[in-house]
Amino acid sequence: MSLVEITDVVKTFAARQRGGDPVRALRGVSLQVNEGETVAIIGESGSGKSTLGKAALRLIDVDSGSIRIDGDEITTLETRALRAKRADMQVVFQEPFESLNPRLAIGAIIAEPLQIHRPELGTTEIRKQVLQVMDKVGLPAAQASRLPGELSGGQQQRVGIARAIISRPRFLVLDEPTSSLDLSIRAQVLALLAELQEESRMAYLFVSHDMHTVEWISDRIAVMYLGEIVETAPTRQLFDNPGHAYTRTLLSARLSADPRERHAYKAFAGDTTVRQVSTGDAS
Amino acid sequence: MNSVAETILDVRNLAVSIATPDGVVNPVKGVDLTVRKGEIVGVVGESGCGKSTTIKGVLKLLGPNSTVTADKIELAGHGDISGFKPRQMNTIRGRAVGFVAQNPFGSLNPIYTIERQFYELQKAHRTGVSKRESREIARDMLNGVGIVGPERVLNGYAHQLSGGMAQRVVIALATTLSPKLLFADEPTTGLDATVQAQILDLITGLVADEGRSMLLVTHDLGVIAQYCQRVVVMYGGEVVEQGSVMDVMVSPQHSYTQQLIGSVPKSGEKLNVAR
Amino acid sequence: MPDVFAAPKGRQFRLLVKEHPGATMGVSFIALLLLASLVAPLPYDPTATDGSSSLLAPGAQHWFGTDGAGADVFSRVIAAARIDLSLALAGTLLSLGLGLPLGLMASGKGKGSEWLVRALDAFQAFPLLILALALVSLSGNKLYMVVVAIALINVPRYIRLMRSEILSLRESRFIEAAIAMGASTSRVTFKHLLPNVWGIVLVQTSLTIANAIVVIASLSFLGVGVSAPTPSWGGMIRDGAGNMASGEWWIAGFAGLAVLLCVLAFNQLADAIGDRTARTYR
Repeated sequence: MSLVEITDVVKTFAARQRGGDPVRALRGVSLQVNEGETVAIIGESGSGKSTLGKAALRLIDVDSGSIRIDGDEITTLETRALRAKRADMQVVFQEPFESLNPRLAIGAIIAEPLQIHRPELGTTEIRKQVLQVMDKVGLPAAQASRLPGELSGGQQQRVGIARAIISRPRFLVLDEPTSSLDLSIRAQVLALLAELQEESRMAYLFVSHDMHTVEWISDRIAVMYLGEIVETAPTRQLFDNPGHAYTRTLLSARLSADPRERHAYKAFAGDTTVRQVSTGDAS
Repeated sequence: MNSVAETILDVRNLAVSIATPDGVVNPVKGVDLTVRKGEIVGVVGESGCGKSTTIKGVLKLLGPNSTVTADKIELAGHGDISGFKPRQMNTIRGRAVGFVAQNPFGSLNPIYTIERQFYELQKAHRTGVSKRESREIARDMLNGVGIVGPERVLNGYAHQLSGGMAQRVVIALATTLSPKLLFADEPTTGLDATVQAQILDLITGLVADEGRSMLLVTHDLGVIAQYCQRVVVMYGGEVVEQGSVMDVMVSPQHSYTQQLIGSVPKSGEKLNVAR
Repeated sequence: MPDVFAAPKGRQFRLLVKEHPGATMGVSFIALLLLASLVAPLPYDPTATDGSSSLLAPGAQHWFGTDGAGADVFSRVIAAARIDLSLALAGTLLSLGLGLPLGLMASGKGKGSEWLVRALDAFQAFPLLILALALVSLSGNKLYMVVVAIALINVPRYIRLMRSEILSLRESRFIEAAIAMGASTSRVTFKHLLPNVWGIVLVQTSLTIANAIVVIASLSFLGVGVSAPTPSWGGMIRDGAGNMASGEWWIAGFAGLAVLLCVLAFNQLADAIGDRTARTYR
């Protein structure tokens, strides 16, 4: 059995406006993530990919379906047990600054999961572990007493990652963790995430819209479209031999940074020969 | 390869300084830029490198606490505009140079109908334009940017549009007065990949079809590689490298450019991580 | 458990002085006024009347002149600060004490908070100053009723402010992150929500003091609350209003100036606090 077992999950949001149609964000989604594996969810805005990420951590309640993490059915856990379970499942959000309490020092932010889940450790031990984790994610110890606003975006995201891993979770939801970062910073954060996973065998659910990023980091990819997973495949296979027409559309819209590879975008029309790669002069 | 085309924009030694409560900062320090006829020039760099400030400096779109200096800003048909007063700049913006900003909803007036915005724009630059005539033109422009059923869009407001549609409207507005040069500042950032591809196809099509030129500011190397002919790489307010996209992107010379291109995740390869 | 790491504090005040000269001057003015009214020897007994020296113009003998009963206006203006400012501060403290917990209750998710806000709407539909006036005069001019009256007017403002701030904070990412990390409701409230509300509460408090000063002056002007011979700014304005027409401007004039400067001082302080809290954390 996989570490994370999502089975037939349905979530419908009430209509935004009175009289509008309810939004069917998840229409029976099933997905597994194994220990040490990165599964990416890709899709465009409104596809339900972020909703799935939140549902997997029960940050929102689902209407029906089952979500098992390490054997525990989290959709029915009562409040106290769910809080305790959260030490095992953590999240890193897209907005590095907004996800940190602006009034707490960096060290205090990173320490919080331990203060909640392992208060018996005591201040000295927690302090020690905070500094260890900061070192691991590449934050200088001197920044422990800084406020989030005093750090750069890349450093803020390292704080978010440090906070997420300090309780040694087995499952991490990464909700577009690098989308708001500059290219070189993005590369550093991705490399860090890969390194951490290698060490601790965490399972990653990586929500993203960036094809370059998911191609690099994920083992398997689930493509979401209008609340459904239309295709799940190992990364290489999905890129080389996409099975669903929508996947092909997404791939054709990917812009290669190599001018020798020209991708011609084609709208989602169901045609099978969408992706055209030609090598040649750019001018 | 090809003969040197007519120069549309020639910027020499552009510098911008901004007075902040914490002292004066210089986001742009002596930038040279050239845009030739029919060409799409990409300006790329990471946040804070001065790429957006550069094009806003050229158009004098920066706030009153900023100072823009340049040896010259030569715009074809208008001469050196570096010393132009705000009044003179008003005749340049929109008519000689169209501007497409990142957030289309920031460019559209939320309380005017789309039709009204086309009318206001034309009234500002042409005397005696009638509402009827303006509507005709607006309809054509919206058709031209691939909006099916422009009537509904014209009668509606910005908030009723999706991000992609709103950006199409902004592009239509920016090209209404047939400027020979377009400035686009991250025109597709924040849009979905498929919408981004559609919008970029549209903009580059508009440039190619009508012999226009474009200065395209972006942080996305894919946009540069796939849509531009020449690229200007900026770092710390300065141009570190410029040249044809083929040359710069395939065999970058400057170490910063090399590092930037190396940071694009490529499957199966180690990331080029600068620490 | 105490914080494992704490952010450095202390430079806030220095920055406040440097960047907001208006607020610094305001605070100094209030401090000086309070100090003078409480401990400094006044040139004359503020309640002593002297028929022989009534309505003297400002001069070397009487800096701010004298009033109709011959009392020294300068001494009275300073002495009035004692009662007026104390009442304003007491009223503000009571408003805070009631407004904060009620505001927290009003920003909950349940039905209760909605009812509380409905009740507030109905309550605020009353002309509250008139209600305050009635309360104080019916109580027989009890001073504690003035304090209650100030709270009556300001508690709804605190509730609304807290509610709108907390409701928008609840949507923020770091609150979601705290929930995701397994924080209990009380931890989310006291560690993450409330510390991010203090800045705006402080701003509101400064504005409340300014408002209380005006309310107290208005009540005294209408003859309720602080009653003669105890000096109060509102009372002096009322007494001096009759003399204005005949050219003796200084009685109402200096009392009015005191109210104006106090209100200005607290408004400046509110501005400065708002500015600082907005900038330090961004």
